[in-house]
Amino acid sequence: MTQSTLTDPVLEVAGLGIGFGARTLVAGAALTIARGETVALVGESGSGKSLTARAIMGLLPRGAALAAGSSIRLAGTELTTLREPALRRLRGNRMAMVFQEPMSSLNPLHTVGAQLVEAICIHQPISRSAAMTRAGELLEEVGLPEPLLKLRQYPHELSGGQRQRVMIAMALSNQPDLLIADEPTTALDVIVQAQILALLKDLQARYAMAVLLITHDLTIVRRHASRVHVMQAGRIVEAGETAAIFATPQHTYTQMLLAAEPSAVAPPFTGSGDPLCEARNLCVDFPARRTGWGAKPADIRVVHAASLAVARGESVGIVGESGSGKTTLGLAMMRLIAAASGEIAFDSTRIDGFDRAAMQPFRRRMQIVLQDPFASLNPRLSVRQIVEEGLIVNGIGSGPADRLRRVRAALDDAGLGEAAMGDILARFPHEFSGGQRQRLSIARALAVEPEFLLLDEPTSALDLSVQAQILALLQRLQRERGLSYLFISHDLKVVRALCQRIIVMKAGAIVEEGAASDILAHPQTEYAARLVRAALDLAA
Amino acid sequence: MSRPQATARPQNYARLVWLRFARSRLGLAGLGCLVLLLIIVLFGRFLAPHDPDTRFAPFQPPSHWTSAGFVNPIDSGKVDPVTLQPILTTAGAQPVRLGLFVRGHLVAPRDPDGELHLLGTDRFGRDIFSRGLVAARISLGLATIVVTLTTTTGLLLGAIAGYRGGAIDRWLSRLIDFVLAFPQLPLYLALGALIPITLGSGMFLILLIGIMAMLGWAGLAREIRGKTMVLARMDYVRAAIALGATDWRVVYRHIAPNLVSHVLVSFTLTLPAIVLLESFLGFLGLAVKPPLISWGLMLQDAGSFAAIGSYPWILSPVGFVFITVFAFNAVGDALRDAIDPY
Repeated sequence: MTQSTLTDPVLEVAGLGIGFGARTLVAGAALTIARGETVALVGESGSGKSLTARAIMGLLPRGAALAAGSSIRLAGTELTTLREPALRRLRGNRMAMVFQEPMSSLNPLHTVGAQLVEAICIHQPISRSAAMTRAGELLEEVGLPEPLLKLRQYPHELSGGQRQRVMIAMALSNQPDLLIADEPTTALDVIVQAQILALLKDLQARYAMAVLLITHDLTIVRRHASRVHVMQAGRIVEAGETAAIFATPQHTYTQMLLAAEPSAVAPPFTGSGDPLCEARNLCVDFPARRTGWGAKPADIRVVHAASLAVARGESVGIVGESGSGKTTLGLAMMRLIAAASGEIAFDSTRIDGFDRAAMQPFRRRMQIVLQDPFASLNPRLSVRQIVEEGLIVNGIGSGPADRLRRVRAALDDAGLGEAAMGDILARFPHEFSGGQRQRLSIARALAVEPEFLLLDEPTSALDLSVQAQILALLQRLQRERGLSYLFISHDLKVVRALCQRIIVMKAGAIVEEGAASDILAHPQTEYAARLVRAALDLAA
Repeated sequence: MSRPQATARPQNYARLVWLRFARSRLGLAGLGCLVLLLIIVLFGRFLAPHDPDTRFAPFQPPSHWTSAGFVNPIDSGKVDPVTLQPILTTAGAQPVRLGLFVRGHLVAPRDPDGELHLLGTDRFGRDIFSRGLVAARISLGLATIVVTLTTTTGLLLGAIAGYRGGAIDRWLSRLIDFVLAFPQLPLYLALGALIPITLGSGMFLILLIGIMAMLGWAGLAREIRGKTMVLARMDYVRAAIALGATDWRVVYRHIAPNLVSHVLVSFTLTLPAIVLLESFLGFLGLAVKPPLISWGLMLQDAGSFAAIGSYPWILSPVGFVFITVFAFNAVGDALRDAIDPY
């Protein structure tokens, strides 16, 4: 453990252990943060990083307890021996925390102003009107436009990014010595992410705070933390200067984590370029709800005249912020939601007017893999039933024995074969990890031998190392089977690793389209440029 | 993480549910009561000490348990100065000699003229305990049929409304609202009054079941509609449609299995409600007709205040209702906690 001689340490954690019953979740964690310094704690889900943060705040979940010999010192005060009332005086005052989920961390029944005033008045002996003035200043400081109006608004009137700014203002309200930011930008869009991180950096300098930044995103670490601690399975396996660790990682886990970050560029497209799946001027409407007695309001157009084509063996990425209509466009091309107008063609056949029966022969040729590994598998079906379903409904295979052989082959192809996993046919989805569930989804699609796959954020719910495995799997499948991918993602790095062409969507319309290398190097529109900068530019 | 639980044997769903169910002590107690009730339903007449229609002296108090065995109180010859009721005593009374397998009953007085009234006798002198055991078949049978009808209707209409959406959903939802908006109690009484008094007891029972079923399905239908709407938007349903699955397959393969747990719990929690409803309608006069016996019918006798004041034991059929309601509620609660082990 590198331990420079820190002047003025704000937080000193030593020998921190957390147990849950007989299980040890965190053991021997040590870290120090000096005033004005940002230290990152990185690790994959389940590594114990959030638990460490909650232990520092004295907010361990019920049933979890500190191990003997744990020491947490905030500006010289030992916290582990403090009683709850004394801790409460420190929490939100000398140390504050910003959480991941801006939707649920504000109370929807109170105005932003009331919640800020409460945070101030708990710890400072000032009047409510003085606190309200201070709250207005805070909102201005975190860069919210019209702070006086925002004070009177309720959380639902603000966007996710604005809410996270309010949370930061609340954390700053008593000028804490230590700010813990637990995945502060994970729930936000890339562009907003960059703004929030810049704000945090700026405020840290102004308030001379110590910041503990908890994240799984290595780009954020590299850009914002001076030192980094890598956590794996409850232990800090490596710690040191960020630059040094990124240049020469010592621990195998750190090396694996760095290698897992998608940095590769997709192999060039060598196919003929004949479109396999094509949309022309596709528009999709969401039906408006009738409210009251008047005439039914007009439907809401969520995709405006989108045209795109995916060639055989090609990968096309659709990127854009949440709400830009990329998933809707993808599902409409698959005929899974109705389009309002426009043409869809698959293998030179117009399929947009087809009813269910006419679609049937096309279904097996175009398959989907969806984002949420927990929602995309029916919990009541076994692995065999899940993978076999497509074979049964499409009448593939000469009988049960042949279907079983095909199921095994599909699982094998998705990396869940007997050699790797043992016999899993009779198991249920809940017995598998997120990455394995995503492989199951892929196996389900592969079983019917499709030509075209719609991949809707297939890796965004997964840890970095698992994401790398899934991307490698997708690339191998494309090589071996000549599959075409339409890949929907908000993460440009993943898109760069997989796709030869990129389509940028904004507010339901395609704003830019071109070869991946061109768009990443020379984005034409301001919007695309911001996306690229937020995702890839390290110097930002 | 390459092969978690690779050696653990796959656990099937029913086993997981049972393991979690067994953790609830109240649930196990309820299950025990249910088994007891089932035995009573099947073998009521055999378990009862007397034939339910045999008449003894009316309004006899329950037999007392003494060191010599069960004793029927006898008239002491004195009269209570306030109520002018005869004062009963056990002094000098002969204990009832009981035997196993006597005249087709499991336990009964060995003497053909002997009497054993664990819960006393009613106004016609019939043994209440024996009648309570025999009534279990009608009361629980009626409740089971009613709940089966309401559950099937509710599940079917709810699932159709939730899955099809659109105009079908709008009309079915209005129908549900309409049924739920009925003031149920006056309606029961009015419908009861509409049934011709000359109708046979079997026909009367069928009509009673029909009325209860007609008014009972709407709540479940509304719940199922909501749950179906949620399930129909799950990603795995979307994936099944992408594979080319038909509507029918999506419903029975992907939606119905995920509704089963909800329906099962609703079944166990609605059944006691119907048992209660039956007993309480009986109390108000809308009960099955003799010669059928139900707990509601038995409670009809307890409708008069004077009768309860003088012969409080005629309320004892409430005990059977209580055990039933407890058993089903306990099992239903434990089942609800156990049913989603994932």
